[in-house]
Amino acid sequence: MTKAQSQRSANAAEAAFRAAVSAEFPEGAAVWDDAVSRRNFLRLMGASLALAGLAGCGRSAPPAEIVPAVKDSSETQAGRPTYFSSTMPFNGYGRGVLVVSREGRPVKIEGNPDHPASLGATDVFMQASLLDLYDPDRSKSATEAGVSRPLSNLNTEISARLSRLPDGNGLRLLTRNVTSPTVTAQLKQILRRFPRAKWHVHDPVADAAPALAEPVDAVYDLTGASVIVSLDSDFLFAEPGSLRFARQFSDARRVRRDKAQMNRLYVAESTMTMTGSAADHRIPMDPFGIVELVWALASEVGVALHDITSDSPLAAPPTSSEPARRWATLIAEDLRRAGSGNSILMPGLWQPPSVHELAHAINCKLGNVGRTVYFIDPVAAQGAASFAELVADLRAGAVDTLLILDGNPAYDAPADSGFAHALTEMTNKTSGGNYASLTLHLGTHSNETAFACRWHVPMAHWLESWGDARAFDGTASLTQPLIAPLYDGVTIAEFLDGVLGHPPRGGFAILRDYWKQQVTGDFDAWWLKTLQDGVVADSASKPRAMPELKLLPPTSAAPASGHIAIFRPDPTIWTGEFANNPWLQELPKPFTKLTWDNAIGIGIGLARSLGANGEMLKDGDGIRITIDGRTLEGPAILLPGQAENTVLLSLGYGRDQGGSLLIENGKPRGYNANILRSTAHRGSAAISVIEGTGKKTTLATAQNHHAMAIEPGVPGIEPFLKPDVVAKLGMSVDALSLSNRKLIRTVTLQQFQADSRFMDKLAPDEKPPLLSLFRELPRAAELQWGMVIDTTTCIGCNACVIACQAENNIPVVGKSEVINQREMHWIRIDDYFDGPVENPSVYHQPVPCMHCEDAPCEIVCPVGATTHSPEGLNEMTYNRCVGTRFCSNNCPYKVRRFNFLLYSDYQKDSRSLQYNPDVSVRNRGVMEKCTYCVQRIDRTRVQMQRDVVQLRELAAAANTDAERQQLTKLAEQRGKQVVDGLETACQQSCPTRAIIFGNIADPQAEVSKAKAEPANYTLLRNLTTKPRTSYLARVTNPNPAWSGPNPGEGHSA
Amino acid sequence: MTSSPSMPAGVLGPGITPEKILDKVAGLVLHRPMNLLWLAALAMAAGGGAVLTLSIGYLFYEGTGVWGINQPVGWGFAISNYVFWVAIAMGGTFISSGLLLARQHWRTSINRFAETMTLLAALNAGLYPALHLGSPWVFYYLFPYPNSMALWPQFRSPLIWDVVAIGLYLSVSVSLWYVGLIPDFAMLRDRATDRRRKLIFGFFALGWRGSSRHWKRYQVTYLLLAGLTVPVVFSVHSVTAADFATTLLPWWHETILPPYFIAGAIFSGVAMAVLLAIPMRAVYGLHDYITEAHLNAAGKLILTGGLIVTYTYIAEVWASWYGGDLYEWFQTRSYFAGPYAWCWWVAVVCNGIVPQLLWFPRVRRNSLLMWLICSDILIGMWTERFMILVPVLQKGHLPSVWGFYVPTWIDWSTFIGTIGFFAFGFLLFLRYLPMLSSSELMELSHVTDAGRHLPTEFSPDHAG
Repeated sequence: MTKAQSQRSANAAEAAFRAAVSAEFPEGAAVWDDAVSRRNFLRLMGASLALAGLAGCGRSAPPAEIVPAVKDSSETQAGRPTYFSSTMPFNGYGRGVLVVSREGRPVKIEGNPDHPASLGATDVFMQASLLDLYDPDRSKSATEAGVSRPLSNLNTEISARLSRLPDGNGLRLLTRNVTSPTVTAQLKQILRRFPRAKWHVHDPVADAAPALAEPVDAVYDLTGASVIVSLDSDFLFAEPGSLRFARQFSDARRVRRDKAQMNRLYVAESTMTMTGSAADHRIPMDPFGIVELVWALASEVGVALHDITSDSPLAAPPTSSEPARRWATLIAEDLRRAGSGNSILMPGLWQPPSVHELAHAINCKLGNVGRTVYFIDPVAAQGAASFAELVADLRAGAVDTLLILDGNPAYDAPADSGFAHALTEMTNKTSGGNYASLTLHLGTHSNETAFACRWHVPMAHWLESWGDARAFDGTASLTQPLIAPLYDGVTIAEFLDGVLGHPPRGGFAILRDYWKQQVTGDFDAWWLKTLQDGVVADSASKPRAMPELKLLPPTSAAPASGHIAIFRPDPTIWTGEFANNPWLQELPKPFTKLTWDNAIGIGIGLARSLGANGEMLKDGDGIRITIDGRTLEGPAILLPGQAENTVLLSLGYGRDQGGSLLIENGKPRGYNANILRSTAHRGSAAISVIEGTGKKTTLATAQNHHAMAIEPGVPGIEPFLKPDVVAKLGMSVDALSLSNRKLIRTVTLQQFQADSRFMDKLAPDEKPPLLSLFRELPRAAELQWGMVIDTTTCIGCNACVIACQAENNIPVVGKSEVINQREMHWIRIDDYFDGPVENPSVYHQPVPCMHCEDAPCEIVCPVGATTHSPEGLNEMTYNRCVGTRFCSNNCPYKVRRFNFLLYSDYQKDSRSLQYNPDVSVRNRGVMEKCTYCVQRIDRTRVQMQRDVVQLRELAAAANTDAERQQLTKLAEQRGKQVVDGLETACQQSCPTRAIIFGNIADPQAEVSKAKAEPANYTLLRNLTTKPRTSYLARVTNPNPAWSGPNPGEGHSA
Repeated sequence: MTSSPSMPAGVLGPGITPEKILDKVAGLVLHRPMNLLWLAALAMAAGGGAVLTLSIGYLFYEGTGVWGINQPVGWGFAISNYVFWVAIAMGGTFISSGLLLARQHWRTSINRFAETMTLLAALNAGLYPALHLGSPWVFYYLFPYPNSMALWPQFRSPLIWDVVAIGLYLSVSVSLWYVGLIPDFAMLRDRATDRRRKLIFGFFALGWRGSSRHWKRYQVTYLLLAGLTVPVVFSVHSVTAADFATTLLPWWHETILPPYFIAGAIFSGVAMAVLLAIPMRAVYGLHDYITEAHLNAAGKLILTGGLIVTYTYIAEVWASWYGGDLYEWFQTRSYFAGPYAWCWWVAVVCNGIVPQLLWFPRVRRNSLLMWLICSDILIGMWTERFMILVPVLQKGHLPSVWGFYVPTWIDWSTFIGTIGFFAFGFLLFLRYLPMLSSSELMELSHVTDAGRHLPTEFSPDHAG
């Protein structure tokens, strides 16, 4: 071999090696290949000094503070969870959380009881956000035009551009809703430093907030409100303060023998929401109907309109339609009866400014302001230029550098804004062979906006970040990282710090520097306490004066005919930011139980009129909707309680960039409703044409919800039972009625107060407890676990379902397996509908394992894999299970879940890092089900024993007899308090505390007291399975003056 | 003995002598040339067996999720086909042992192949419970074997009774079948001309010399085994019924199920035997051995079974109405008009109405009609097992977990595969083993041939 040959082969080998490296480590390879970065290293170092911060981003914590653990600290013992308080930003607003860390990994999220927006509860987004941290589809390196590049290239370019634009003319920042004090300060600093730069905000939800005459946020306190009127406000689920509202609402609604009082809730809304399902009176109305209702209400209450707006003459209140007037009279009377300051009107986020202003005028008139309603200065940072202005400038070519910090405006901006198109044009514009401008996207995923930008920089997940945020009431709290950034992600604060030209110092220093300036006194002590508490003490906004209301006439009159599209964030994947989250994709949506898809929600009337050949439109039948020449197609789904002539379009689907779960069969999953939205009408829009397409799709619903209608008779509602066929056979359909099954029981408050034996009337044919043929065995242990679920306060928010999934390593099975009826959730929420399908009452019934004392599953298992514990748990021994499924067949509640295939991911997916190490991951062919979180019970027990041992040791080492006696006594006491702090995952997450768990052998335990309530009942008692999980009947509080059909009056189903 | 009431005239054709019997039975095994039709049939059956093997391989590789089972319907084809095959097995044993004990001598011509049918069907049936396990690699947890975990199976579970019943049933059936074959093996050994067959048949003949002592022991053993088999037959299907009856699901939680299942098993098992016997006697010229008298007697048995099954249908519907249980009555209506209502109506027509034709002696003695009716019954009884299983699981107590079961193509291929396996085994039996029991037929021919009696101790009526 000649020297030249060997050189060539060496070159070839090196090239091959580089190719391999490039394939393996894209980012590293780019550095190696890039001659510029080597040759001009020093020069670039100088040039990018102003942006040096960017290069250092991601290596956040200062090395000086990291000390290797020589010995286990008491906080991080292997096998024991450690809790860190932090803050999850959601729609910009902070929600306090406690993150459970195991062996250095965050594995579970709980609510922070000290945080005003959580009170210890969580919602589905807080729970599931954890899984996004481990999402394998997160962006892993900075890219330029889709190719991995070192950040130094970016630094060079930004610094070059900024030096060309000294006053920042052409520099634009686009953020989502910002409440973070640190970021707000940084933005202000940037605007000071670059006076002609502009900062814009686009947020798919917060943008919908009505622009009142004065920027102001309304904060509600439901504690003292005995009458609550929601004007299309889903305040129990979809507002930044929902968890708090839900707690306050349920606290005032929980009925017990000794507290037979509850509030009354009226909800006027266009589509069924969780708030609507909790209502005593739900009024389905299209958006115009709601406007009419609030005007009628204003005149009923006697709001002196001219008093408020003396400067402009007000048009006479529009004439309201008959139902609006009738309801207004009824509600107004109830409001008056409640007394001054004891009621509340809550206008919905998606309602026009006129509704908000009128609602607050009524609140003011009723004396609620200052008692149940407060006004505070806006929590979100103010001073941003409008999004429309940005688009106009993009089109005009006035933008040189556009930095999009988080969010996905290319996907979720209303279609008529033309943002995505303008952004792509700007990105691709070249001059002299170079890119003419810079577009950059910072985000956790390479989404549609990243795709439309030239640069994409990975953003750190909030669980990897130092940061802060303010809650809906202004309370500030800190975000602390639980893990070093997995993919060198950068936070917004770190990025802005770089833009400001600071040397790299990481998010920790940025955050501390900001707060150091805010705090007087001992900063380190403040810092430690704030980090521990998760809340900045006394930082809630102070109430301000009632804003001046410029009562606007209704935005538009109702169209004479035609249909209205209602746009709402999806109750599982929200506006699309959780679209790559398998837990949320598979979470059955409330009311429809649809998974892995969005569908066009229609009412029964529309289903009848759209069907061809006299047939009603069924679930999965295609619909085409045209608004202003823009067309969308999707499958229909029947929504009970949908307002007449309205159509529900849910946001968040139809995405095509940013994750493998977004794509189904090569196409975006679901439809993209944003293409029908316009800037002027974000919440609703008049439909030009709506028609059936004749296409059919199979929807993956986790429940055949049409079989859940309690009374049959609506064509198509009971497709399995074919009542017409049965009728032809000469039988009546009464036995088909599910109401005979008494699964749901409901009474009105009056009945509850009048007769303590009301349950006997609800289920008269239920047998008394049968005498057993066998000798009843005494309970084998002092602790006997049991659960009560209060259906009065359950709002069906699904938090328990996801919390259980996160706690118990429950696998996701995918759309086709949901269609095969094999979903795995250990707790499900059964929704029952009662009354007319146009406006039914909805009952939510969470169903975990009943832990029957005489469990039918146990006696049929051939190998004894499911057995009874002395403490009354029905246990599964996975290693013993051979998978006959006999137990599931014999379970009347069907709460058992079977691994038909290998659903659990053992190693392929980085999501498996989330697994709770205390819970076995189940193999294929094994039955599983709710365990009452046995791992939590055992952990509590172990902790108790540990404490007892410690106390005894202390006693043994005590110096005096008195001390010894005291410590021994303490040890004894501690030994009896096993259940202290014990909560199941579902119970802990529940915003309304509807789930009560504990030791039923202790008559003082909350669970025992609940079981002693007259409203307590068990499912299918006649089967004598003796369930340990029982339910409290749903108590409703309808207005006695209402003459119409009272949903849920004194019956059971 | 000649006037034995259990001996209908014409059980054997006229002029059948022991020599003729021996020539016929031995000739079918030793001197029959290889037949292309048989080869083609065997190839088809082997193809079915291969389908079964592939289906099982795929099932074990992927998991039970390849079947159509789902959350409410934990058992689908696997268990309904298990019941179907067990029932057929049971019918075969009923012919060989039950009728033996009842001194129905006409069973002699058909008992050998009925026992073979039993064996093959029981093998198929035994396969399904193993296949239906989610974790088949630990199937042995179902057996009471000593182990270091000191764990026993859970004896309260009917599935354990099932394991015991099927295991016992298979072993007793094999014993009965093999013991019955020993004199025939010896006969074949003596008649074989080539060394290879002499060795093979000789091996299986276990040194049978036909001595009186041999015959005596043989008769006692055979009768004892038959006596053992009969209760096992009834227990195995009662236990199968217990899989359902011990649950608390509407239409399963019923005491009528064991007798109902046993009647159904005799019904479908005898129908299967007739279904096989009619083509067999046509192809192999066995009209003198399997006569109209056999068809007639089998027809009466089938009719009896069918009437009991029909009674059960009526009784269950009546009880579910009279009992007033909401869920029972709901299930009844589901049967009448639910999504799988066709199963109910197919079962009623095939098992309840069509068999009424068997009241007519002319129908019972017509081989074509009998064959058609038996096919109808097998279809009906297969559907009935599906009907018992699936609709009940589909719609349990809570409507929120109602579901729907549709078998997948793997479900179907597994079932078709078991038919292939059954046919494969049966075809091999027809070619390589005596399909009639020569010793018992000879005995029978003595009985029918006036004046020539066997010594009483040879007669099954008296032995033991």
